[in-house]
Amino acid sequence: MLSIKNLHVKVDNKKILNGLDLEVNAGEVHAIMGPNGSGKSTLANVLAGRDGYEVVDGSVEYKGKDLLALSPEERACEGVFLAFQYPVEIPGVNNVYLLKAGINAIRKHRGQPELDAVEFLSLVKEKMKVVHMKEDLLNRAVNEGFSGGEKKRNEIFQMAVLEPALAILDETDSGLDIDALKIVANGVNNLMNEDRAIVLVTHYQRLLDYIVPHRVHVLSGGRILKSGDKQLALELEKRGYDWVIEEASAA
Amino acid sequence: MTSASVEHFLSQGTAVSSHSWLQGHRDAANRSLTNSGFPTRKMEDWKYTDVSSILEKNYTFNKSIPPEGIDSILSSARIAELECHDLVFINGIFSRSHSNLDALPEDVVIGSLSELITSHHDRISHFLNRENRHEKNGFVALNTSLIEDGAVVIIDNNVALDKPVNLVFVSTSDTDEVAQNIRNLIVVGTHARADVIETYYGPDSTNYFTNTVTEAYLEDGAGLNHYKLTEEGLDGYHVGNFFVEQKQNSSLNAYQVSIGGKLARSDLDINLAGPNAEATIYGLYMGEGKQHIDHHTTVNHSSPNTRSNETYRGVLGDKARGVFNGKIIVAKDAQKTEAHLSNANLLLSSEAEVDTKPELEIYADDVKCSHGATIGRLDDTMLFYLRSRAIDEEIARSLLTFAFAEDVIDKIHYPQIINRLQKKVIGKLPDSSLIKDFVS
Ligand SMILES: Nc1ncnc2c1ncn2[C@@H]1O[C@H](COP(=O)(O)OP(=O)(O)OP(=O)(O)O)[C@@H](O)[C@H]1O
Ligand SMILES: [Mg+2]
Repeated sequence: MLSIKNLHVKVDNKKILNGLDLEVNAGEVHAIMGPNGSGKSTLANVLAGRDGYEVVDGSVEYKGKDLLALSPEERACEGVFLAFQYPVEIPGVNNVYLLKAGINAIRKHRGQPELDAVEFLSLVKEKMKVVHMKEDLLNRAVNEGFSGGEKKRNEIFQMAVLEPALAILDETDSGLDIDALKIVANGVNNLMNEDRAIVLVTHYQRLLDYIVPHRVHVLSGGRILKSGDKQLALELEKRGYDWVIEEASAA
Repeated sequence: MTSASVEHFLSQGTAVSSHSWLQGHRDAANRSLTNSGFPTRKMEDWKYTDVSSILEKNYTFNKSIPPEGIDSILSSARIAELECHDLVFINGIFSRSHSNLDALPEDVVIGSLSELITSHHDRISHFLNRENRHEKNGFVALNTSLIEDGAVVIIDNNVALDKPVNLVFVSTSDTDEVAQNIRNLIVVGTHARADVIETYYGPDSTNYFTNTVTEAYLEDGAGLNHYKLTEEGLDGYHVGNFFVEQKQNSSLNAYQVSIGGKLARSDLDINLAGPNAEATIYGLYMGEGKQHIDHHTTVNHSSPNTRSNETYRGVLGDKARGVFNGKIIVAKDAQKTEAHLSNANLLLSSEAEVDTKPELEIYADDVKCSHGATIGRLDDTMLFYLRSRAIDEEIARSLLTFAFAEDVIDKIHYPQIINRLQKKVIGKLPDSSLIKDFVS
């Protein structure tokens, strides 16, 4: 589904990603872990199409298409979703209208009829239950005045409504209490099926107790240094990253 | 100094008034314009606004026009579904047949200056052109020299007006170069209340000129909500001056919206003349194409314990130019004054421009004042967030622009005015049909 080859990316003329390779198949959950500043969010942003990231080399293929040639909204229409590490507050833009416009843009792109108000509302109601979203957050401006945890939950709620094929969750688990963490995990597990894939960026093994990843990768210095199964996450939790970095530089 | 343009404009006055007090004001204004002329860019207050394109035209003032096509213009000029008393002026002349003053309550005087000047001579002459308003600038002098018609709204003490008064000023002509000179007077008596709307509207394709002056006097404890909607046609010129004098405990909410005109200049001068008087001002200006929109405000805190809060937002696209100048003056005796002023501008194109200058002149020592101005562009992180949710880039831009303007629009009390402005603002944005959904 997603094939990243030898990706080199510059931000403000500073090299952040240095030959990153990653293969994600449909039906798989991948976890990406790594020290602060190693390039995890950069990768997530490049995949979602944010401006200001210069791809100097390499390729990203998504469902057989050149992902990097698409605008952010085209990527969203094709099923790519990014849950932001820092969700943005947008005063004056209503949360639920944003979702309605988003889902209808995606449906239009797929050649499906737009949802009318009633259909949309029942979908929203159903998904609100999945993530235990409070009703009053729905009709507020996007993320405005939301607590840190509420913002993260709103990202998962949006994901649940938009039902992306490839969801990239950038530290959605950070700053969540244990109940909220279970809810996020529940949202992710609910979404998963054999046609979808999820990339989880996380610092904590505890999320992986609830979402079992097929692969765990260590990203450091803008490259994937080591990949393994979920045992690797447990080992990283115990030993930190230094040994991986040493191992890689010795090789 | 008498230039050709001053002579031409002054020659537009009609016969000598039978009211000698009024003729006295006209004569004084005439002398003042003859001596000082129209503003030039050498004057600090007119530094960014060049009025020479108005002055070089041979406008004909207050010309009556056969009422063909007026109904469709008026239906666009009126505020849909708003229950109100309304006065309609066409090219500066009151049109009784288009106005609706059937259900006026007692203890109010609402009508046209030309009709009421005889029957209510005492009260009108007491207020009109007080403090020699014509000395402010050449346009107010011209306006005073040509005083002919306009609206009069006088609310007796302790009366709360049941419905808003909508003053509708439309320009219409098959030919270019007609002008309207409008002089309005609003008096709100002790503990009385009134809502007054002024709408200036004209077709997009004629070159016309509106020169309007409104004076409002708020007695002790009076309340006025005032809306000025400047929606002149895109080839129309507008110069407006709004003077407000507030006695103790009175309160003003002023909304100044400018979305039309090739060149639209609006001045607002508020004098908080009695203790505890308070003024809240919201402004919104939007320019596109080559529009030039200028707002100058002065809030004079001349009494203690007075409060003012002023918020203006501007949105400028294409090659449009915005000017904002907001002055707060706190007199020496005006202790415990609270005054806040903010102006935020959004530039939508690299060729759009804005000059903004908030000014404080404080002569008292025990005051709370703040002011600030910003000029910015659409926020990249917000744009990216919306786009990542499948929102098309153009729509995302329109949405964020609308949200910026909406912050002022949603302060308005009448849903009918909110609706009107939302439609107008959205109508100026790309993909307007798509963002309507977000607003309902
Ligand atoms: N606009 C920018 N200009 C310069 N440097 C940048 C810019 N954006 C990111 N960086 C740098 O790129 C590096 C990688 O940042 P990134 O946000 O991808 O890290 P991360 O792995 O997500 O870290 P964290 O775990 O703290 O979220 C950092 O050193 C960061 O300072
Ligand atoms: Mg990060």
